[in-house]
Amino acid sequence: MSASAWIMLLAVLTAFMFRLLPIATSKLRFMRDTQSPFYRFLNYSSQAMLGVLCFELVFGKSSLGQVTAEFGWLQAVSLVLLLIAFLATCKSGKVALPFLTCSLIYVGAASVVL
Amino acid sequence: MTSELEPKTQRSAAIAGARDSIPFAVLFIFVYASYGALCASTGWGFWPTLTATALLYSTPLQLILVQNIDTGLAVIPIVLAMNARFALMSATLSPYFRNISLLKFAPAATLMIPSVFTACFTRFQKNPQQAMAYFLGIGVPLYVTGVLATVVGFQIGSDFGGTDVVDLTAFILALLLVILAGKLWPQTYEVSAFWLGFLTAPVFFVAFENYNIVVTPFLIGGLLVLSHWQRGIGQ
Repeated sequence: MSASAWIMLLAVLTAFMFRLLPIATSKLRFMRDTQSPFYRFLNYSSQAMLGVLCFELVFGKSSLGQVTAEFGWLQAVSLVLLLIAFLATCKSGKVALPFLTCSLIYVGAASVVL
Repeated sequence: MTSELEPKTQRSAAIAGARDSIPFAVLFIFVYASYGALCASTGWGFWPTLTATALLYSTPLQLILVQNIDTGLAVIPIVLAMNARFALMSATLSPYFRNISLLKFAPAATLMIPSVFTACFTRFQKNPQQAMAYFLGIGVPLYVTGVLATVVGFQIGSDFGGTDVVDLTAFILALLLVILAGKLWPQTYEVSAFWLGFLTAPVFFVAFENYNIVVTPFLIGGLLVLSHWQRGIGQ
């Protein structure tokens, strides 16, 4: 088996184990209480991870310097739309309207810029 | 009475999951078709391409592997760091699956991805009933979409999409994550964690680079627990 195949096998196995094994922790006492500090730590960390992922989706894996250097019209529109969508969802609890509106505005803005 | 109602509520949870999967599924068509096309254009074989989606099922890691697998052992720490994200997601959802055995969860474990995690977490905060049915309801359609789109993208090859489609898909996925974070409101700590992750990502990137997505969230999580504890709420 080639080195690439071994790396792929390792990636598949570790992905599976990392997804599966933490489910067993639900039997542990401190994981049953969703108000416990440890569970809160996991909860907040996972939300922060989604925040990092969200940033990377919009700006790529970049430092603050790279972001400011490459900051353009489309990036500004993206940021404003994300903020509007967030506030609209907080206020109304609805998903479809902010999603469709902001997606369409982005498509329009991108077609002007690109 | 409960046993009569259970299949009905299971079905409705699964249907709710399938309904919530629709916007993500539309995006997955572009994400995985782009991945399939990239693999075809970089000379990857059909089966390694399909196996990566079917068994690894992690777009960022799949893209890293396509571009860096020839670098050998150097890519292993990145593989482990990217996969560690799944442990965080599974551990956070685990209290809602406490009645499911490990053996029963195993066939569905691969469905745990950020989109499914976010939708599940948002729903379970308000409605933790029939968690597994909802998880499968949203997870299975997305998985099937991902696999099929990979096949189609690979067949179409480099003619598919381009950077415009990739950028648009990335923005819309980010938009969905933000909207789902908005659904968590007024849980201020969860929402703050999300935005702190977003805002500090470029700051910590200088220090952590490829490991940013694993290290930064734990720093923020720890900081918020400390702040919670100091305010005496966590006591």
